[in-house]
Amino acid sequence: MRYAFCGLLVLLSAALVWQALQLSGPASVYPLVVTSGALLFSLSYTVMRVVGGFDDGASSFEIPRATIARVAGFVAVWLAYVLLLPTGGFILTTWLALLVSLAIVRGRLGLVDALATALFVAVLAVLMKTVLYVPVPQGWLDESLETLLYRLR
Amino acid sequence: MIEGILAALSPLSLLFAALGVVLGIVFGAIPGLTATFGIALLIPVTFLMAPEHGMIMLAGIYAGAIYGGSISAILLNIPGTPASIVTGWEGNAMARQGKAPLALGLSAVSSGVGGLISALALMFLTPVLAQLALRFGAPEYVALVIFSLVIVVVMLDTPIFANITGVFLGLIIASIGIDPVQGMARFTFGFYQLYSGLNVVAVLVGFFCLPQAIVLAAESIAGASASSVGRIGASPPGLVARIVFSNRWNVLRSSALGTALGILPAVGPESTPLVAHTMERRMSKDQAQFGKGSEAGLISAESSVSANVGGSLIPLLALGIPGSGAAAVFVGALTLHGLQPGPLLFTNRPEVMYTFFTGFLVVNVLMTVVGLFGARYLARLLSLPKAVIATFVAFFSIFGAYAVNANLFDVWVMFASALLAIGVGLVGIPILPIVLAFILGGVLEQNIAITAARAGGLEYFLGRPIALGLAAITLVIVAIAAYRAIFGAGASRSEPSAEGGER
Repeated sequence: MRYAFCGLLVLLSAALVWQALQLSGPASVYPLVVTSGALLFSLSYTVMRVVGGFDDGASSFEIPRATIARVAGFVAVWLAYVLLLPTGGFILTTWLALLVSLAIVRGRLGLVDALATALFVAVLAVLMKTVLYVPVPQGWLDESLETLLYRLR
Repeated sequence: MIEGILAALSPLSLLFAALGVVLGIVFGAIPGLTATFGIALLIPVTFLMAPEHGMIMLAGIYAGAIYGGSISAILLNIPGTPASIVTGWEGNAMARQGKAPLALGLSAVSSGVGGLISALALMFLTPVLAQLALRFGAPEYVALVIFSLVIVVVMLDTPIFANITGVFLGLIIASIGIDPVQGMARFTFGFYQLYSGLNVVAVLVGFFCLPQAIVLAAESIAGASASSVGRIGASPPGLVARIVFSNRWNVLRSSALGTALGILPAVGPESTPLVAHTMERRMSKDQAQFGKGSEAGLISAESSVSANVGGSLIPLLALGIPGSGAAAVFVGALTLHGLQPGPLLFTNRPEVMYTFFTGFLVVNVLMTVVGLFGARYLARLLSLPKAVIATFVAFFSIFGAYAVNANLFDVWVMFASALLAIGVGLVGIPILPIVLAFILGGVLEQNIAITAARAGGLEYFLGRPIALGLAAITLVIVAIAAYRAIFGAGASRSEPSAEGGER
């Protein structure tokens, strides 16, 4: 995995060098220098690791092998959240994402979790419409809340 | 100046300072969450505030988080942030001797005093440095940025090729968008949203917050449960004050060292207490006690680490060069408010600067008070389940990246930055050079372009002693690093050195 990422880094740097070569005039000099530097030193680092290997503790980011499937699930939930946000609206999508994320990480789904996350999302949604004014994607629940707040005013 | 001081003492400024300190201590006390993380996550919130209030709150988070890390270090020997490792040695040994309230109190007061000393240095050194920096032209900035990047490369204890790769990656990320010479788009891959470059906040949240959420989720899944802390007594303020006063020279020495190390771009709060602790042990008559619950050791570590916070802000505000990863994240907050860090801040917005300086003094006083009287209550936070923290950190990372421009594209930028941070973390490339190069890349390129346009020949540089001096120092540093690398002076690297991780 680590060697694969080293290789990926070298390939990415090479692709960027190629991109920089497509530029013309004085504007191409700086991109060419920085991408060539990245290619040269990522290649040197990869060679150093291939020859010398990775020491224990070389990585600053490590995930225990046994947890990888559930961690991938956790990441997938939040990726799906961003994809579904425009269609599902903020309130419903955020509540579902929080709930499913908690269920995946804790390994169980509780009624308290469902209620607490629903309360959190409701409070945040009201705050965003009345204090923070962050225009979040609207679904039918968001629109209903908007109508309710308008009537209360 | 007087207006700035009065503004910092207004009820609203004090409220934001207190909020920042408490939030910072909360972030710092929870193992896995760091000062950099707290600042990156809450930058979007400051958008709703006046710039000076936002900066005061972030400074409160920074100072509070560095102190907050000591709570779990003292009570559980689990450093809340990497900066609290030495505190864990001494403080936890004291806690095991039944002196947890005293250790928490000493930690709060010595942190506060260290922070105050660095706040005074920030207040008086920054304008002087900024005045000098007003004489800087493009060549001086090029030399200064290169000097900062070289310092980061040679000071980190990760392999030098990894550090240099990190610098070039950061420079590439900074160069995405329209170039300053011909106005051509580069590395945008057809996305018009990238023409104005990457959103700094989204990138920093991606670097520091989402990967942390993933690590916390993995730890929770692996079965690392929340820690439980029993009832803790109140810190004895009188005794704490007497002990700190009897260690006054220790506090002064360690604070001065912490401030000085903070000014250097690569020496953040992690390595500072190690250096201060070593220095104090060598000077102490009771060396045997160090590492076994030494009050002097705890005081030196805490005052130096808090002083480092103010020190790291000096080059940021005076020159636009961050002194640490957390200070680099401050740049995101400043740019969000349309402020360009550097000497012109003093010319364009002096009221913001003086409000911030006074606010930073207030922050350190508040931190001492909250720490001295509230640490035992804040220790309850150690019982929060990691699953809950991970989930909410992930949510707020996405929300923070989105909220700045109300744009989902920035969220994808945040995910891409998180992926890069995870990838480089896996292969052992430190994130700090990437962040610093990303922050400084624009300044570097712009000033290279100006220098290239103005310099007709080498004689242009002869009339620029500052640029030549910086270039000479940089060359000397490179030569020393090369000498050590070639002749295997690896032993010297076993001394406490900077880490490539998060600050």
